[in-house]
This record gives sequence, structure tokens and C-alpha cells, in this order.
Amino acid sequence: MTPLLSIVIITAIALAGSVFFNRFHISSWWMKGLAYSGLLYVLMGCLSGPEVLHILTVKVLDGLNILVTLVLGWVGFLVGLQTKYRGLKRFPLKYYLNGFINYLIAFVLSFTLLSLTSYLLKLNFLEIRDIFILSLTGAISSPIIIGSLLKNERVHAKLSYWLQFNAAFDNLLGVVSIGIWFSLFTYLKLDGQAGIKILRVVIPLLVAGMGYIIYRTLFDLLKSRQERLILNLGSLLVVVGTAYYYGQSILFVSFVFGSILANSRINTRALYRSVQDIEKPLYILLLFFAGAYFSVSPSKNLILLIGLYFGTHFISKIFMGPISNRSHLIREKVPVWIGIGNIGMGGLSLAMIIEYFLLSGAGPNGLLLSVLILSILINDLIAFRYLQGVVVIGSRVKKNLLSIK
Amino acid sequence: MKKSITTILLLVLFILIRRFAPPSDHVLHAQSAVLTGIVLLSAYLLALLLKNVKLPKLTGYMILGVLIGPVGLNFLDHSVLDSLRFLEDLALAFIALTAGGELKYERFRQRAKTVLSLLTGQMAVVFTGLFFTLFFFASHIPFLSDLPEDIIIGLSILFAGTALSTSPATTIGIITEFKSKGKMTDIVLAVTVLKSIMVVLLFPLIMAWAKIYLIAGTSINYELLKTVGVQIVGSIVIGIAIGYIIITYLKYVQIERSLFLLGVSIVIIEVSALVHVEILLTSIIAGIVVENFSRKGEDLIENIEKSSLPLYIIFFSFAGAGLHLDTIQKALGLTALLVILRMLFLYLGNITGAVLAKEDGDIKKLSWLGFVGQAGIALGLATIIENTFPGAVGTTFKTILISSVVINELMGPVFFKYILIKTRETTEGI
Repeated sequence: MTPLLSIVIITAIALAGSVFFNRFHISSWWMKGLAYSGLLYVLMGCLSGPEVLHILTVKVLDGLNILVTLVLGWVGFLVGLQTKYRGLKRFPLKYYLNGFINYLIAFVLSFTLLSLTSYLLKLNFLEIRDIFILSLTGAISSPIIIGSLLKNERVHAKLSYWLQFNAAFDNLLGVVSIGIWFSLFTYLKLDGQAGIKILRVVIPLLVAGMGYIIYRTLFDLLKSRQERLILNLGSLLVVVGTAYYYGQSILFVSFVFGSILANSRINTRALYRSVQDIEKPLYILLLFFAGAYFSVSPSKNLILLIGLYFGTHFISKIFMGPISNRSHLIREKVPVWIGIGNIGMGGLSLAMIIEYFLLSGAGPNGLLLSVLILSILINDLIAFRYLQGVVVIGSRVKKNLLSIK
Repeated sequence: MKKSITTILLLVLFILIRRFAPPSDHVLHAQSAVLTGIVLLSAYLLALLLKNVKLPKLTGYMILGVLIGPVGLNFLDHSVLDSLRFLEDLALAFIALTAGGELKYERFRQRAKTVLSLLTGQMAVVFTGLFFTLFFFASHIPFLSDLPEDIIIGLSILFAGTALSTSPATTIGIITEFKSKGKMTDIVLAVTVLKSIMVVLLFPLIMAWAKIYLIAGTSINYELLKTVGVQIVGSIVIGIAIGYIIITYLKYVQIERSLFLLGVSIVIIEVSALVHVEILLTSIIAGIVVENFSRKGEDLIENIEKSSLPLYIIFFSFAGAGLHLDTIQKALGLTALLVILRMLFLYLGNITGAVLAKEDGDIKKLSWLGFVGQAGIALGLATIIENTFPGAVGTTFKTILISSVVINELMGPVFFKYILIKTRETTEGI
């Protein structure tokens, strides 16, 4: 297909999508769910990618590598920025304990079930590290769905508040887990003396600390909006580039950087303002890249793995309701099937899988990414539908549904 | 003090990061990411430092590029520069879109006579002046003195042709940096953009003409001219199409405009590579279409400017890293001569144009200083010449040309800033 025709098609999709979502009131729950999950951007990425219209060829994607790295860094950085101690202190300890137990159970169950079925069904195309990363992505949930409901509907306040905390906390645990995993992986993979190996694991974290010193020094010097953009982009690129250089998790190292900044004397409100400007475009880019890497042709392995992943994911999350009820988190009872509302996945899981491909060199057109994208769509729809029934108690004036966050 | 210490700290940090890094498959990409971060911060800090000695920030970015480029510390070596070429193209597309977007016909209508006169005067006088000077005084110029007459004519055509090129990126960069507004700003920008378009259009013809003298048995290659013609028309058609796509998007879609422009720039780069058209020309045309055929020109500029600073830093630092300062010493005399001659004929051409347009005052006396800068196009042309004429002649020509571009590019922003301050079209940086 000619590039010009491709441009026309993509623009037409963007226009049609935008006009559709902006001008018409969408009452169908599944259309809302698809809009919340960012389907349009995944679809556009997929259409632009090497397998369909060839606008984003493999060469272009290679050239955009630095942008992908930056997007991953930004995702981790934002999670880190939310870990201000004063803010975390506001939540009761039982919230953390409950969140941690839910996360642990989801991960362990997911990993065990996936390993077991993979062994029994002789799924040789799945390596143990693939199962590990799938289980990690399965253990986290999407804060976006509940956030969107909070923004656009009248909701059950305490339940939504707890659910949002839970989603944010398992995202944090997910980033920390992938960080630990990559550190161990790098340590075991490297040759040489133990001292050098430890140094190579630690250096990216030291650079994150150094990045803070540089950031702190320049924060008062670079004050305009454009200068703050330079400061944020520059320091983050140094930090994420170092993580990438040393084979460490970009998400984790940038999370550490964000966390240090959040807990420093820097005015985080000003920092948030400057960071927020670029948050949404970068998240859309993430969806777009994921779409571009998506393998379009359906295969037996893909269908099998989606089924398997969905099944294990569902089972591993279903215990959330009963466990949470035992912890007496909120005055009312948590719905027993609340785990269904927690199977939505969202941006971080995509970021984790893209990082896995980037660092392990497994190639972008991977089966896992396709599984994850399709699972996000399916899971987000189910989670959205379920939460709508449980959490929503009335409706507000509709806003632009493409405003994901 | 803070600025200089932090700049040094950043460079030392990179040395340490590189020193202990384990071997891996993605070293180049990772190194490129770290270096882009270091360039963004240290180039800007250096630019702030140089502001104290009244140098424009663009010069600071370029100096940082030279410092860490292949002739300096070699952090930004050729492999890294190649891997980040895409980013540089992206910046160029954005800058050229801005340049086109600044050209509002209504604003220039009243100055059209001056713009066209200056353009004609400069192009005619610089080309003919340089050509005849080099041709008639060839026996006194070391590189040319021993060559046969045909070769001297061919090389004089090429020297004169490449001297026409100018740097729209520098012009728009300085205008953005100093937020300048006024007659001088409008005229320098318009002439620069139009001259860049003319150079892109004329250079294939100049090359074909020079080839007749440089390569025995060559005649005008009409097939080549046809191909070039198709490419130029292609650039214009694609530029217009993209311009209308931008207008439609800005008009009907109210979301993520900056992201859309990023996508458009990627499309421009890809399409340009696929159908062999000029990124610069296509982007300028697209910008002109948006500015002049819709009410969305302001929107376009506003959305680009939101993220323009990192792009300028990247573009000019990489341009600095790409400057072959080491070549200057190889042909210092001839380079100096070429630079002086170009400036002399630029001055004379400008005076001629100003007289024709009945312009007096600053436009007549000073505006030529706004056209000294040379960049990407001239470097690209030098490479084309080297490839077209392999061997000692091509290489020496490239060396001389690149050296003169280095000097012109470093002086260009300083001169342009000087005239903006002198004409009081900016209050920044005084």
C-alpha cells in the first residue's frame, strides 16, 4: 500500500474515532470499556505497523527505540512520584497487608498454574522466564478503569477508594518485582568476579541517586515550562539509558528516581505539573507502540495461550474478595467476586512486557505481546462491566471518553 | 558556578557509566539514550554559561556538540550519531514546519518587493561574483592553480552554487530563542526560506552543469533532470497534502495535537525516504499551506513550540558534533578565502537587492548578516559532490566546503542575534 494512502487511512481513522467519541453519547457499556482500554490507539499502532500499512517499518521502530525507552522510564517515574511517604502514611496498614497478600497470591497462583499447564500440555515455546513475566503482568491490575469510573460516574466512595488504592499498590509491587527479577537475572547472567557483578547491578541505582542530585541542583535554575521539560527529559533519559545499558529494569530504576524525587524537598506539586504535561501523550505512544509490535496473524499457539492466560489470571484473582473480607477493610462487606473487577490490566503490564522484549532481546513481534494486548482488551471489558455493576451508583455528565486518565 | 560544575559532572558521569558497562546487544541504543539525556542538559547549561558572553544559545548547543563529538571527546561518535539520525530528522521536520508556518502571505505581501529583490540580488551576485572571482584568479589559488581550465570552471560552479545555501534552521532557531518580531525578522526569515527552496530546486541543475566540465564526455543528462523535476514536484505535492491533513486534524480533532504533529513528522521523514523527496522542502511547504490556507497557523506554531526546545538542542548539538573542525587546518587558507568572498558577495548582493527595492537604513546596511549561517543543506551537497566526483578533487572540495560551512555556521547565529538587537526587534539577551 502506498504511504500516502496509509496516511489518509490513519488520519481518517483518527478523525472518525475522535468525532465518534467526542460528538456522540456512548451508552453501550462495551464501547465505553473499549474506549477506556485505549483500543483506538492500539488499533492505530497495529494499522501503522510493519504487518499492515508499513508506515512504522521495523527500521522506523528501531529508530524510535529511544522514544520507547523514554516511555518506559516515564511509566516507572510516575509510579515512583506517587510514593511520597506523607501520602502513603494516610492509608491504614491493613490496606498494605491485604494488597500485598492479594498480589502475592495472584502471582504465585498464576505462575504455578501457568507452569503446570505448560508442562502438561508440552508448550515448548514457553520458557520459564516467559511464564514469569506473564505471571508478573497478571498480578497487577488497572488503576485506569476505576479512575475513569471515579471521574465520569457517581460511585460507591469507600469501595472505589479501596479499589483504587489496591490497583495503585499492586502496580508499585509489580515495578519492584520486575526490578528485583532483572537484577537477579543480570547478576546470574554476567561473567566475572562477584564484586564487579554487584557493582553492575548497583550502578544504575547510584545513577538514579546522582540523577536526583543533578535534578535538585538544576531545579531552581531551570524554571520556565520549556526548561523544566529539558530537566525532566534529560535527567530521566540519563537514568533510564543507564538502566538499559546495564540490562536492569528501566521501569524499576526510573521508579527509584521518581521515588527519591517525591520524597525530597523539591516542590512535588510543581514537579507534577511539569510531568503531567507529557504523561498522556507518552501513554498513548506506549499503546501505539504495542499496537505496532502486535502480531496480526492468529496462530494456534496464540489462541491457546490467550485461553490459558485468561483462565489462570481469572483463577488467581478470584480469591481477592474472600481474603479482603477477612481483613475488614471497609465497614461494608467487599463483594465476594470483586476479583473480577481486578482483572483489568492496563498500561503498566504493557510496559512490562515491552521492557522484557527490549532487554531480553526476544524480538518485538513476540507472541507474548500479542497475548497481552488481546488479554487487556478482553479483561478490561469484563472488569469494566463488573465494576460498573458493583461500584457505580449513578451517572454524571459525560466527558470525553478518550481522556484515558 | 553551578552550571559549569553540573556540566562537567554530567560528562564525568557518562565516562563512568561507559567504563563499567557490561557487554550487551543493545549497547548502541542504550548509549544513545544516555547521551541524548546528557546532551539535553549539558548543552543547555553550556548555552546558559555562554549567554554571559552574549553568545546565542544555538552557538552553545553547537559548541557542546563539537566538544563531545568525533573531533572532541568522541562520546557522540559516528555510530551514535547514525543511530540518532532519526531524532535529528525529526527535529529538522519540526523546525521546517515552523519555518513554513511563520510565512504568512498577508504579512509578507507588503514586503514582497523587498524580499524578492534581496533574494534575486543575493543569488545573482553571490553566484556570479564567486564564480568569476574563482575562475579568473584560479592561477593564484593553490588548490585550483594546477588544474585544467574545464575542471576550474566545474569547481567554480560548484563553489558558487553551494555558497548560495543558507540555514533556515538557524534563522528560525534564533527567532524562537529571542522571540523577535518586526521588519528585519520577517524579511530575513522569508528570504532564507525562499532561498532554501530555490537552492533545493536549482542545485541538481548546477550539479548537471558542473558535471559537463568535470567529467569528460558528459552532456546535460535530461533523464536526471526529469527525475529531479519529479522529485521536486513530489515534495511540493506531498507537502501540500500533509498541510491539508494537518489543517483537517487541527480543525476537527481537539485532542493530542502535539502527538499528532510528532506522527506527521515521522510520516514526512518516511515518505521523504521512500519517494526520495526533501524533508526540508516537504515540511516547509506543509507549514506554508497550514499558515496560508487555514486559520490554524497559530495553532500549529503553538503546538510545535510547546516541545521545541529539546528539538533545537538535539538538532544543533548534533550539527555541532557533525562539524569536521579537523578539516579546517587542512585547507585553512582557501577556506578563509571562500568565507570572506562569500560574505563580500552576500553584502554586495544584499545592497543591490535593497537598492532595487528602494530600501534604506538597516535593511540595506545590516540584513546581509542574517544570511551568513549555513548548515545541513550545504553539508548534504558536499557529500553529494564527493560521491559524484570520487578521488582527490571530490575529497578536497568537500574538505574546503565543510570547513567554510563550519565557520559560517558558528558565525551565523552570532551575527543574526547582533542585527536583531541592533534593530531593537528583540529585548531578550541584551
